[in-house]
Amino acid sequence: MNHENDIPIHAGDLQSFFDGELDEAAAQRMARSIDQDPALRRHLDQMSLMRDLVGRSMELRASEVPRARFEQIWDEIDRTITQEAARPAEAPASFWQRVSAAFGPFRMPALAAAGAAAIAVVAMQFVAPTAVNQPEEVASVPKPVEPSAPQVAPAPSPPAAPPTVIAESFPAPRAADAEIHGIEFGGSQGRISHTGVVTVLYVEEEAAPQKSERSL
Amino acid sequence: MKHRSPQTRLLAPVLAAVFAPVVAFSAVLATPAAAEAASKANCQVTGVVASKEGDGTIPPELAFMKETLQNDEFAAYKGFHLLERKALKLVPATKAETSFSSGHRLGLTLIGGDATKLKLHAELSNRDASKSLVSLDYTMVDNGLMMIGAGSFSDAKRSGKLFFAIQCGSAG
Amino acid sequence: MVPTDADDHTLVEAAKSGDRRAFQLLFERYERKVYAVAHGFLRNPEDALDVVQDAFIKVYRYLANFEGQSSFYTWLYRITANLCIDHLRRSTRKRDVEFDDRIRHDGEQDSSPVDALPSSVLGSPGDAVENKEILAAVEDSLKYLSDKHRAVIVMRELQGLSYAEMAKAMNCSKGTIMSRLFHARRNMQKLLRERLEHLPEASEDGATELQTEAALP
Repeated sequence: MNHENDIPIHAGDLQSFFDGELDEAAAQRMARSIDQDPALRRHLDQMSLMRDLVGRSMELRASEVPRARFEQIWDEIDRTITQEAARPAEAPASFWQRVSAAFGPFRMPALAAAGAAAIAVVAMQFVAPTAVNQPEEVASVPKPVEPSAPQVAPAPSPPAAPPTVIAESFPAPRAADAEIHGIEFGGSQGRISHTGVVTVLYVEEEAAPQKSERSL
Repeated sequence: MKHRSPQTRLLAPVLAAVFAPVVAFSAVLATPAAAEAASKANCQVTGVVASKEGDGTIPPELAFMKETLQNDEFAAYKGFHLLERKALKLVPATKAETSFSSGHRLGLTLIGGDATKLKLHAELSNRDASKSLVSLDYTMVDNGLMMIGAGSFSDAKRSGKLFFAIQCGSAG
Repeated sequence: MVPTDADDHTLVEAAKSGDRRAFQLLFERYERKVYAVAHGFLRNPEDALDVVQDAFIKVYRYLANFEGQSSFYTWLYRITANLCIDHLRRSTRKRDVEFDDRIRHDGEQDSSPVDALPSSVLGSPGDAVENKEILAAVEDSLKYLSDKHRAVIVMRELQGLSYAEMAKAMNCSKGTIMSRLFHARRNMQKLLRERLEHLPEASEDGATELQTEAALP
C-alpha cells in the first residue's frame, strides 16, 4: 500500500529536503521555494529546532548514567565474549558415530532400529532452525577470537603479615563533594569524579605529569 | 563579598546537586573571613581494595563508609576489603605522613578551615615512593570523605582496585 | 597497544586481531550514544542498558566480518536499532496512551502546518536546547508518541539514518517511513506545544525563572 499520498506533496518535499533525501536538482528547486516563501522557512526552522531539542534531551539523559554502570556493562560484555572465545567449536558427529554411540554392543540386533533412526536424523537436518536476527553485511558464524593478555601487572606482594592499624573510631563520613582548588596529577592520567556523596580522584602510575589548575 | 541568605542556604542542597561547581565556587567565595580557624584535625586514612568478585556485602570493618561504597560510583565492584587504616594528627602548616603496605605514601597538611570545614593539602606517592601520583589542595566539610583511586592491587588474599579514603575532622 | 585517540578503523582492526583493550575503547567511545538511542526507543533505563550490552556483544561476534562498507558507527547504530525494534515487538508492556498512527492519518487531510512552538517560551534556539524544563517537556512528549512514531523520530533525529535504512530496519516501504515520519513530527510538535504552554515565558535575556534562581550564591 502506497502511503506517500498521506502527506501533502509540498510538505513531503520539504521534509525530504530537510532530511537530505532529495536529489541535487530537486533540492535546489526546494531551496529556491524556501527563499521565496516565509511560511516554508518557518516550517523548516521548526523542524530544525525540534531535531536539536530531541537530540539534546536524549544526550542529557545519557549523560546522567553514572560511569560505573557502564563499567558494569563492560564487565559483563568482557565476561561473555571471553566465555564464547574459550568454548571450542563442536564438530557435528557423523551419522555412523551417532549410531555407534546410540547402539554400542547391540549393533547387530539393532540394525532395523538404526535404519529408522537414520531416516529420522536425515529428516531433522531439513527442519533445523536458521539463525535469526542477523546483522546486516554479516555471515552467521564468527571467527573465534583469542582473548587478549591482561593489561595491568599486579602490584608487588606485601610482607606475609601486613600490619593493620585500627585508628581511633570516627563517625560515619558526611556525604559531600570536595572543593578542589589546585591539583597536579603525576601519572599519565588523572580523573576527578564528584558524586554528591564523595569525591573520587583516579590516578594511574605512568609517565608524564599533567597539571590541572582550578585556582580562584 | 556576598554572604548566603538563610533562604539560599535552604535551597543549596537542592541546587547543589544540579549546579555543584557553581555552588562550590560561590561557597568558597562566601566563607566568612571572621570564622575561627581550625587549629588541629584528626584524620583517618583507610586503604580499601574493591574487587569484582564477591556478594556485595560490606565487611564490618568498613561499615562506617557503607553509604559511600554503595554509591553508584562503585557499582562495578562486588567485594570490598580493608587493607589497613592509619591515623594522622594534623596541626597547621605541618605535613604528616604515613605509609601503606602497598608501598604508597600519603602526606596530609592542614592549611586552614573552621569548625565546619577543613582546607587540606594531600599528596599521594607511587608504590616505591619515588614520585608523586597526585598533589592537591581541597576544602572538605568536617568529617567528609575524599577518596583516591590508586590503580590495581593484589596480594595473597585479594585483588582489585585500591582506594585510599581520607576522612578528617576538626579537633579544636 | 593502540592509543586511546586512535580512529574507529584502527580500533576495529586491532579488535579483530584480538586486542580486547581496543574493543573496550570502542565501547567507551560509543556507550552513551548507544544508550541515548536505546533509551529513546525504549524509555526504560534498564532495558536501554541491556540493549547497550547486547549490541556490543553482537558487534564483537560479527566484527571479523565487518568489511567497513559503512562506518563502524553506522553499523553499530543499525544493530542497536534492530535490537530495540525486536525488543519493542517482544514487549507485552502496555502504555497509558497509545497512538495508532493509522487513526491519526484519517483526520488530517489538510495541508496547513501545525501551530508553531511558542517562541515566547522557547526564547532563542540556543537557549532552548539548554533549558532543562523545555528538555523535560521534549522527553515527556516522546513518551506519548506511539512506538512506531518514536522509532522513526529516534532513527532520523538522533541516528541520522536514511529513509532507506529506516525502511529496512522497520521492514516496510520507504513511502511508509516518509508518512510515518511526517505524522510523528506533527504529533511531536503538538504534544510539545501542549506542554510548553504551561511553562513561564523566557525573559528578554533568555533566562527562565529557574535559571535565575540557580545563579544566586
